[in-house]
Amino acid sequence: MGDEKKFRALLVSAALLIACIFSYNIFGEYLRADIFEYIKRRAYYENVLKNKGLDLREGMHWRKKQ
Amino acid sequence: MTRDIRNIRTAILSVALSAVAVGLLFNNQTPVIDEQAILRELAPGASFTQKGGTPPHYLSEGLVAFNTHDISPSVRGYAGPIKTLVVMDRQGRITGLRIIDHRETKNYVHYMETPEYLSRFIGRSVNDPLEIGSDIDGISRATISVQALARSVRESSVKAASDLLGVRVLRAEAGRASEHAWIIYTAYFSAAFFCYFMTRHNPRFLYTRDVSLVLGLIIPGIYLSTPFSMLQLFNMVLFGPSNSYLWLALVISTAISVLLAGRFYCGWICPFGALSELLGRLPVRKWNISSGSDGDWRRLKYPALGISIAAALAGRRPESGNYETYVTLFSLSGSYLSWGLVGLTLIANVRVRRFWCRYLCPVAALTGLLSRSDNRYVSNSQCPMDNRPGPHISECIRCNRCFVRTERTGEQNG
Repeated sequence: MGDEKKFRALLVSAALLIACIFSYNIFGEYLRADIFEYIKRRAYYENVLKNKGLDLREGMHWRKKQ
Repeated sequence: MTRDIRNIRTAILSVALSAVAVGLLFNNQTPVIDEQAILRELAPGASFTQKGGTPPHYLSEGLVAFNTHDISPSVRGYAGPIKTLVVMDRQGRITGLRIIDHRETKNYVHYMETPEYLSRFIGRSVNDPLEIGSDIDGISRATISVQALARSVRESSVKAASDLLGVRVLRAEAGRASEHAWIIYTAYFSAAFFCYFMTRHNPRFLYTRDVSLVLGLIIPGIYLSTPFSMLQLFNMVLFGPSNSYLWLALVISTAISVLLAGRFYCGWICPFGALSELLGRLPVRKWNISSGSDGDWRRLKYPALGISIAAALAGRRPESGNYETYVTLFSLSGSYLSWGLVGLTLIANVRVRRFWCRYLCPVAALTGLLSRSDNRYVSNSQCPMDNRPGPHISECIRCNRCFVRTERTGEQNG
């Protein structure tokens, strides 16, 4: 690969990283909150609801009722 | 090129003004903080009254709580007030506290917000000094912020204890913590600026720039951990000037240098620029990049600057626009992505001289756009920016290696 190509690849990678940093700065908090909420819901389903033979949607309904 | 730069200048200014307008129209709501909910966590089991009285406070059996900003609103950190909720017992002893709102840069103050650090205030009395370096530990790279935190807690606690609890405060009002950082920075900056003008008259002193670069890495970089960054400008536009002397020294000196000497800051002071240039001096073959490709890619820093300004000002959140490698490197804090960018650019400098400064740096883009033309900078083979002969002034970092002492007539470079 010639110098020019390597240089272009390097700059494109840096630009992509910067785009990811902007996205993370702007949406990171929301994404993190969503991911943690999902993990919590999933963990509750795996540990509690699945053993009762309920699916996730049904289980969440009964959990709210309780 | 000159017309291009004029267009870019207009575009960036339009982006900044539009972003400020969008921010004011859509994102100007102060976040509502449920102080009662926080008090329930700080003092479980206690039931506090509604906030009221002078100074404003919450009361519970055996406890009083207050927001430091309600009592000492003038105390500011680097970018604004650090609002802290403090719970105190009837003897004037702090039993709990939490920072509920601030605008400091997260990279620098993330440790200050942790319960581990705040626990150092717990059990302290209003008669304790409550001063950084005395009974409260400082945090390197966040000195101004923690000093402001300690000062606001100290002043508001003393006022609350004497006015609300009738506690006799034995110690005298503590003075403002001494702040020498701005003196060190100003002395260094002035010396470098003097050397800059000296090297324009006599090239024998060009070695002073190398000394300045090393000191730039040490003083604003490692020791003060405060390189000039877009965050300082975003904070100023959104929340007004800081009352930190170091902040004032940084912003004022950089503004003066841009007016008088264009990108002097980049070429003589910037710690990341210094590190980049020193890495570029390693005896490794440099990549051969065509002049057309180099010129085109150098414009990449302008859209990056525009996006950074739009993100920070429209969202009214300075951190949203932050992708600056020097903030991550010298605060020793940042996301994996930010550290990835730091690593990539540092390695790139070995093959491409001042890679970050030429193609990506937002401060370089801004100071370049604001530089006044000076056609005595003609560029030569020693140029640390690898500028082609007769460069546009926005790409010149004023190393003075190519400075022509007699004014040329004819082609203008700016």
